[in-house]
Amino acid sequence: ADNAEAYQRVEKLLGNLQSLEAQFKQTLTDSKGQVTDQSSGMLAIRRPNRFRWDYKEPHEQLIVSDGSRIWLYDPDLEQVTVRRLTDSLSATPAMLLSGEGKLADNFTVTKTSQDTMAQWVMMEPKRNDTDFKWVRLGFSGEVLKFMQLADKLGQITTLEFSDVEKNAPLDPSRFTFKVPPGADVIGDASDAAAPGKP
Amino acid sequence: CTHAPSRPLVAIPSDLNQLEQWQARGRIGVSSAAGGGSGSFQWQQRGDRADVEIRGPVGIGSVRLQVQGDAQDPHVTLETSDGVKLESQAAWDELETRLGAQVPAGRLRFWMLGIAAPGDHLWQGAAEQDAKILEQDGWRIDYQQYSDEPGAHVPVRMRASSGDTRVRIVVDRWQLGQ
Repeated sequence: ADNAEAYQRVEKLLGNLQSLEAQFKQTLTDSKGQVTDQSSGMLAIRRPNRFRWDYKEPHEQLIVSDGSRIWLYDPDLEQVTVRRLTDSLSATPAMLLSGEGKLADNFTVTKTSQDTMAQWVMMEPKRNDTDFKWVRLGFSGEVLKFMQLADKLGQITTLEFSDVEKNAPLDPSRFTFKVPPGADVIGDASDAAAPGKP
Repeated sequence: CTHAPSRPLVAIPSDLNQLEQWQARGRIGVSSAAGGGSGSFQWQQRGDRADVEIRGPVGIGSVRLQVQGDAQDPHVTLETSDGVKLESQAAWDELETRLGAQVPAGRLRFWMLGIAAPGDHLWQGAAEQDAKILEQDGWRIDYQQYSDEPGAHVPVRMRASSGDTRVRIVVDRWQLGQ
C-alpha cells in the first residue's frame, strides 16, 4: 500500500541525510486549536545523534545533543539541564531526524496525504513511553518543510523549516556544550559517565 | 458622540491581595539534590483557583496542574503529556518527583505577585530599593526585578530557595485583572 511506499520515500529522504541546517519557526497550539506559543531560531543536525536547537525569539534557549547527552540551557534562568541520550529519547522528533536507527525500528507509518503545502507522512512511535502521540513530516519534493507532533494533552507543535541545507559540512564543535560559568546544572554533567564516546 | 477616555479595562487594585484574576507566562527552572528541570509555564488565576501548565522544551513532557482552595491545604489535580492523570496527594507526589523538589503550590499564587501568603512572614531589603526578600514557610524568595509597566508593580524575575531546592522564575508576560 502507499504506506510502504511512504516508508521508502521517508527512509530515502532521511537515509541519505548526513547533516541538515535550517531556520525554523515553531508554533504551539493547544487542544482547542488556539496558538499558545511562537518561537523561532536555527536548527542544525549531524548524524548520528547530534543536533542543536538554537531558539532566538522570543527568548534564547539552547538544546544540544552531543551524541551521548542532551543539554538544555536557558540563559535567563541561568540553568542547564543535562540528560543521557536514552532509548526512550530515540523516539523523539529531533532524534527521528538525527537518529541512527532505521525508521521502521522506531516508527509506524499510519497515514500519507498531500495538500498544497506538502506531501505528508504521519508516523506513530512504536514505544508507548514517548511524550508524543504522532509525528507528521511534510516534504515538498525532496526537501523537508514541516515537522508536526501531538502530545497526549492534545497540544500540537508545528515546526516550519526554511533555508534548508542538506549535507553541508557542519563544524562538529557546534554539537558540543560547555556549561557557562555561574549556571546551575541539573543532571549528570560529568564526562566519565559518557559511554562509548566516539 | 464624545469619545470616552479609554479607562484601563479593569482597574488594578493597589493591594494585589484584592486582585481576583490574573495571568502570567514565562519560564520556570527547578533544581534540587534529586534533580529538577526547566520549562515554560502559563498560569491563570481566577479567585482561589489556579490553572498552571508547565511545558518542557520542544514538547518533551508537559504537566497541567490545577490548584484550588485555601492556601494551607489546596486541592491539586495533575495531568501529564504522557497521559497520567492524578488527584490530591498522588498529584502532589508526582509533581514533586517530576520537579525533584517540594512545591508549596498553595503559596505560589501569592509569591508570584510579590506578596506574602496569609500567615507569618518576614520582609527584608530596604523599601526604596526594588529588590526585596520575603521569608515564609521555610522559603526565601528574592525578587530580583519588577515589571516597569505602569500600574503593575509585579515581579518579572525571582529566585526562591528552601534547603537545597532552588526555583527560578522569569515572567515574560503579565495580564492583571483578566
